Amino acid sequence: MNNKEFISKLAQRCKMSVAESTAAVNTFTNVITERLKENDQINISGIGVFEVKTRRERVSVNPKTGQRMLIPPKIAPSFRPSAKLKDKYKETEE
Amino acid sequence: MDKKLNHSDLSTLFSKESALSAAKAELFTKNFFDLIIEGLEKDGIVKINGLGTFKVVDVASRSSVNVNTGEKFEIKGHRKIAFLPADTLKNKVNQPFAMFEPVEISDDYVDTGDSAAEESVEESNEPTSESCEPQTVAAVETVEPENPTESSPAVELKEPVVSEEPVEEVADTPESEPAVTIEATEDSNNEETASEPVTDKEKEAPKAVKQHKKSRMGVTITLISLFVVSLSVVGIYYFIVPKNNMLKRDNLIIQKSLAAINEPAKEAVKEEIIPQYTVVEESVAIDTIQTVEPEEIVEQKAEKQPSEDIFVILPELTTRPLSSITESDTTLYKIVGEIATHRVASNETLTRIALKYYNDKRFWPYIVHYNKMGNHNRLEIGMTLKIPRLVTK
Repeated sequence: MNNKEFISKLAQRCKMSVAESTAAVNTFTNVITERLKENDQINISGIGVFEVKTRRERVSVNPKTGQRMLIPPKIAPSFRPSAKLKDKYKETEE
Repeated sequence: MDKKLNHSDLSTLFSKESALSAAKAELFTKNFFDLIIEGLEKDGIVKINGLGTFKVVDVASRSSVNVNTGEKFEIKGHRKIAFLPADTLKNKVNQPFAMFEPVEISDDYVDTGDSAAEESVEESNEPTSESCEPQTVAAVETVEPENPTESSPAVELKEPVVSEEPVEEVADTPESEPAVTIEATEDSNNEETASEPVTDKEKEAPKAVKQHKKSRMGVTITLISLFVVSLSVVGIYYFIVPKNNMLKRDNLIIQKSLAAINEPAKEAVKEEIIPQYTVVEESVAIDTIQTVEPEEIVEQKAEKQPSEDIFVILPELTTRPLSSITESDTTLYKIVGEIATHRVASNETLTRIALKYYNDKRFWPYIVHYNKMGNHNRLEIGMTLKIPRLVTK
């Protein structure tokens, strides 16, 4: 499902126009982004947790040239699916 | 900051941001996430611009070991949900560290790499805990005060040394004059040709103006030769002539030479004397430059040239005259017990302490040795030093 499909389906469900839905999705992602920027955790029950993780700097080596690079530290957004959702996908495999 | 938001928090925030009512925002939020799950079930991938991509990923089965029992077992292959954040989200969240870029590390990078890593660690700590910063600043501050204490004694030490050596040199200057006048008879040919242009510069011999056009090469060569000759003469005089006689004679010679200068008839003598003045000035200048050297070098110098060190007071420990004490003598003592303990005051150096207790600054290494000081440059105010009693071996 790509972005376009997602927006149109969401518009159907919320009884909005596609344009409205697009704007709403934009503001919604902005809200999430702003919260994550503030180091907040967004916990959606049954789905999972959106949070940020700080990654330490590290030295990586180019295996071809042997050139070592110092990769700077960074803050990365991450999503941790809830146990419920995880189990669901574990089961569907079997 | 660091708050935990749940579903309803998110929807209220969303309703504030958008023009939607609370109920509609709630509905939207619910549908948003439900649709993500539906999309994952249907297609296994959901792409949302500005947020990222949710994906179902296959994980291959792998073998693992039970940590407690050591038994091998297989983790079955399964699927999991992966989230790849969109670039816009990544960049916005990473804004505090946006200025960093990967740096190539050269092979001889070991130390700087660590320091750079430490720096970046500190910086990574900054946003989360700002208490780190004051600590490091405090650490820097504690380190700093040591340097001034070190440097100030070094500066202090220069003073006495500087005051000594120029005095010696002043004493030298008269010596060199007669010496050259004696030797001048030997080198008269070279020196006379050379000295005349020099007298031009001094403007004391008007007759020499005629010979103004002599080559500069000759002048420089003869100046250098005169310099070398005077230095060698100075050296010889140090070894041969006793000090007191020297000073008396020097005065006489100065008077004589002055008289000689006043007499226009004795041009030959004048020409020989005047260049010597210039040369001696040079040598004094060089010596004063050498004296303004770092502490250690000056001290070593004092150690290496004890025979020239005329102005050191006799040590009370020995009955021998000091002039007979050479460098090797300062290693001829063994440490037997302690005289006193000394508390280092400001403006004190090891050489000053040695001078105080032994009447000779060259004995400072014994203090260093006896106190087992690793770095004798680190003399700190308030330090207690044990002063050893020295007995000739």
